[in-house]
Amino acid sequence: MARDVPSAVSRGGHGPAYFALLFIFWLLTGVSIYPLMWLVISSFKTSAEMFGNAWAFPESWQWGNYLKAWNAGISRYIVSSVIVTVASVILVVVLSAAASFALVVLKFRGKAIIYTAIIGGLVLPPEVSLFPLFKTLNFLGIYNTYFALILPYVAFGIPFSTFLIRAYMVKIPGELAEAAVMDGAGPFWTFWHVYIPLCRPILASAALIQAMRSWNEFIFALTFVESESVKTITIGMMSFANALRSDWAVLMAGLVISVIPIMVTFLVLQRQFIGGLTQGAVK
Amino acid sequence: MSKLEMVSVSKTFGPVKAIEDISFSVEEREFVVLVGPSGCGKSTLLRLIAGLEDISAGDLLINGTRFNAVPPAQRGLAMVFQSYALYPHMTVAENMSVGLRIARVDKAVIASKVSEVAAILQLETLLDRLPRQLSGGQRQRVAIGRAIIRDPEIFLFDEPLSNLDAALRLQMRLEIAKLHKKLDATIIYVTHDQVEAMTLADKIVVLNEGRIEQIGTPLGLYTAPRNIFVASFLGSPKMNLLPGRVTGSDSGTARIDLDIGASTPIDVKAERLSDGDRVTVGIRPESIAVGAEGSDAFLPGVVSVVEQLGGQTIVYVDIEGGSPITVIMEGLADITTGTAVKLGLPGSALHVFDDGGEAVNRIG
Ligand SMILES: Nc1ncnc2c1ncn2[C@@H]1O[C@H](COP(=O)(O)OP(=O)(O)OP(=O)(O)O)[C@@H](O)[C@H]1O
Ligand SMILES: [Mg+2]
Repeated sequence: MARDVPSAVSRGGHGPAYFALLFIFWLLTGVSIYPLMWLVISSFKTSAEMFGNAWAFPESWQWGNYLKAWNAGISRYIVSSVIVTVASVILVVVLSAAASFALVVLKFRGKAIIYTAIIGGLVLPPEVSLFPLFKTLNFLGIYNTYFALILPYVAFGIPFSTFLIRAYMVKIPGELAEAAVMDGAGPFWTFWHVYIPLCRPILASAALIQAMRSWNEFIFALTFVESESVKTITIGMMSFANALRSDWAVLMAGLVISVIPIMVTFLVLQRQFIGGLTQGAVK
Repeated sequence: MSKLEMVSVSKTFGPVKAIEDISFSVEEREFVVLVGPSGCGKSTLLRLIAGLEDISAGDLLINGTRFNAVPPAQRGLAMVFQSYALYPHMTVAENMSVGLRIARVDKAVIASKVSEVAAILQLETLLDRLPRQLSGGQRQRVAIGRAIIRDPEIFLFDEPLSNLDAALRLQMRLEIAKLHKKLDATIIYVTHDQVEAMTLADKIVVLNEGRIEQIGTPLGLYTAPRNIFVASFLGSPKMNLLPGRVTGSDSGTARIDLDIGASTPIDVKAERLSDGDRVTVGIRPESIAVGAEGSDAFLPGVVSVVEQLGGQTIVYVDIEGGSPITVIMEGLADITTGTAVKLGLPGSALHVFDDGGEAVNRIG
């Protein structure tokens, strides 16, 4: 598919424009990969080596840094982050998909108002709602639990993912849902057996975006939990840094561990993600 | 009792009146075609029958029972959509069996029904393919298969052939006609293509702007259109329409002077006309004779375009002071552009319409 897309660059052979573009791409790739490389390499050094010889490869690879980081508390934060992220991703995707389906396929009054209300959430900055949310979570008795993070993440995740998924569902021909109605299907059947399978690429994208948001979220995580056992990795890294004082190389190892899960998630979902981008072209 | 009956049905979308006071009936095993120009409400009418839209006023009766409020799936109808509406992620077999699977029919029964229907439609070798791996005609057959498998009381087709190329359209048209016979099916079929309507229908319902213009058999509508709309909608090339004036009327006959001077006034059978009335005279291209012999009147003109179709020749003749007239001649006619001709108008083949476009005579 991708091969068939005519490109101004490749059609005329390898002219100067081709090499200029290639250079720019490599430059961009380098700029984005360089800090990551530095992080990974540093995490295998001793702290002394890190400051003394910032650019070189380590003299001996300090695998022990990773073990130290893991045992120093990273493991706990990772587990909290995984729980909060997985729960919020599942809830956001399921609820947004269901809301989008209702908005696109079902007939009911007040659709426009409901859609506007949901999308309105996009313009609400999370910082503004810190205090009311804090009160609410206290009132509900879930302050300092996983729910204190999951609920706000879901609430703030739904507007964008509904926006995304709805825009995709609108393009699915309405006759499919009507054919299902004629076949005796209820809305749930149509949702589950027609819309969900056809929306897989966009659901993967929404999941990926939400996963990154939940994983990297800082302000709520800082405000709504305080026990070490429920802290997520973003906040955990701060306590971690304090605890380690000056053991920078171990801290680097901890940082690498903290990005691995989200990298893996990306690699797993990106096939779907890119599939979603090219699907329209094939049809 | 009719299989299906629409009684004074109307449908409004907010301020838009899509369907206005429509009544017609469909008999058991009848092939009824709803035909009309784009936007006249054909799809809406079909969707009202299917239950995909609610009826604003009037009644839908199936086998004599009021069905207005019955959910679509329980009406015993199957619909074939214009875009096929096949589920892209399901195989042909899965697409066809959706209704049965939802109804929780036994797996073995489903399998045997699928192969039975696949055999009728020559889809046996395609059962495991996805829709995108099929040609347009094959997809259309799957869509029809999905309807047949449910063994419906009535089939609803919404412009099923409009996405196909000309050759395939002709072939599928024949297949649908055969299927109608083979299944003894009752069919309501929507199209804007008057040829499809003429060839497939037992009964045609001509729609225009949400209203019924005329109901009848294909031949009945062709030979006795009730108004100018029906007269010019059916038939290809279109009926020629010539403005004129009544110069003398007698009980049951009228003498008409065409605005573009015919050789003599024409006498036609016509009711309700009086001297001085404006009228429109219609004549089908195949009823005009080239050469004036034996005609009641003739129009002189000059041939401007000749289209040789093999079986027939279509000739366009410029008339002084009027729009060109279309003539169909049988076979490969020996006629060339620029020839001066006299077009014979047999009085018995003339349709006469009054000022409001209503027919005032009946031919045949
Ligand atoms: N959901 C709707 N809301 C508002 N108006 C509608 C709706 N559906 C149809 N209409 C209007 O009703 C009229 C009839 O539409 P319909 O689709 O039935 O026409 P059609 O005869 O099937 O035309 P075509 O040959 O183009 O398919 C049109 O004027 C259309 O704009
Ligand atoms: Mg239509």
